[in-house]
Amino acid sequence: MQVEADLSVESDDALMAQVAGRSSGAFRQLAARHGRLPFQIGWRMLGDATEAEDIAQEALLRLWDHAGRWKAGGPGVAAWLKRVAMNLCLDRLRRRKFGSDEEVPERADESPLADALLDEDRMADTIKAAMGALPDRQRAAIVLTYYEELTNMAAAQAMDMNIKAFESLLLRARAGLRNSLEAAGILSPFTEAG
Amino acid sequence: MRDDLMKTDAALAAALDRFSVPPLPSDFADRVAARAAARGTMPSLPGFRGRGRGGWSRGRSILVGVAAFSLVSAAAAATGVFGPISRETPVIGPILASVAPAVIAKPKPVVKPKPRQVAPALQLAEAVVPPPSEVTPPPQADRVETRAALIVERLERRAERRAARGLPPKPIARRQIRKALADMTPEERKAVRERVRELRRHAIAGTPQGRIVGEADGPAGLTERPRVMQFDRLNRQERLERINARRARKGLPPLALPNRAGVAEPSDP
Repeated sequence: MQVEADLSVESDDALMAQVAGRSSGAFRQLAARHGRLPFQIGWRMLGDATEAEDIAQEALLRLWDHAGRWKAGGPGVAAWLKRVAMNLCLDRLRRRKFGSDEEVPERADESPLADALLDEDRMADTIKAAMGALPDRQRAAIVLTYYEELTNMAAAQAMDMNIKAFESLLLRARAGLRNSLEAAGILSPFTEAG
Repeated sequence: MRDDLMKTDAALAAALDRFSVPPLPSDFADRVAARAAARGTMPSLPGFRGRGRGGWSRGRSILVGVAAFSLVSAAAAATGVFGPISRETPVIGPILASVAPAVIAKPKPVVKPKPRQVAPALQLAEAVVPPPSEVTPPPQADRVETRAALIVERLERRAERRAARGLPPKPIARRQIRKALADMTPEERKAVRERVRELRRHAIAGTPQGRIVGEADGPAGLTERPRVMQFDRLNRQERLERINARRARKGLPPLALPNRAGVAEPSDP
């Protein structure tokens, strides 16, 4: 317990140094601290809790494997995990698209509060459907910039794009999402974007 | 971006905020740590996917490499680094020779050389000529003396021929004298001049102390230049006689030989 307490106050770089020495405790501390980041990216990109958990687990295991080459003072573990998780999601979506002719399965509402909050549930389903209707890279742009709060430059780097192309992609994503939500009645066409 | 969208499109931002994420399972970190510990000794996966090089950039590298190799090869061939190229041209002869049995070559007819007819004089000459081993080349000094004797003999013959034709001996050119004097050292030149003065004095005095070139060919006390003038005058006289003979045949009056003063002398008939 004393060891856990000590690890909780360690910086990410210090923990990565211990992970490089194959410290399971340090890695568990990193997983507890940052595990939700790849999970929520996976959830918003894939719309499935199991797949999102796979994404998070895979991203964290890659962090474990990468620990020996970790350079302290860089963007940090959180940014690294977001980038890896987004690429894992895009790879999975690409394989899903080219691997089978089946339609992308409808996203099941796994919200624990779906039964209680019907209106909220209906709106959440609509928003999930609108997000799912976006092209993968447009959805990734929304997730990275809005939900993960990355700057445009950081999001562009995470997606291996130049900043101009990313900004154009983001504008198209916002316009497409707004059109979908207006069509679904979530947004009013008169609430024009500024 | 989030703040920007909330400012510019608050309705859209509010809608996006409804897209909530379920919580992670509580044992997620433990399960991931257990899996990581299980694969702790496994080799690491490949690095993070970077910006790959496209086909065009790789093709450009290949083109640049091929062009550079061609230039280097051409330059090396032009400078002869590879040396002379010997290329064997495949021909049918060696191939058949290696496969077919050896063909017995027809012997060539033997031509007996006829005995040469040697002339009797040649045979005699061959008999007279001593064997080469008995002929010993003369030493260098002997060759020089022999050569000098030949030159002297040739000069004597030439002088005899000139005397037979009634011509005076050929005087030494002044140019040669000047050249010989220029080639001498100052001491030698001074000695030569003293000798010449001495000889001239003796020649004028009639004493037999020396001999000037051409002295025996003229009367004593006569210097070289008057004798040269005399011979020149004789030649001119002969030429004038031939010219006048031709003029007489043409009916023209004869010409007279001018004297040294420029006055024409009466021509001989």
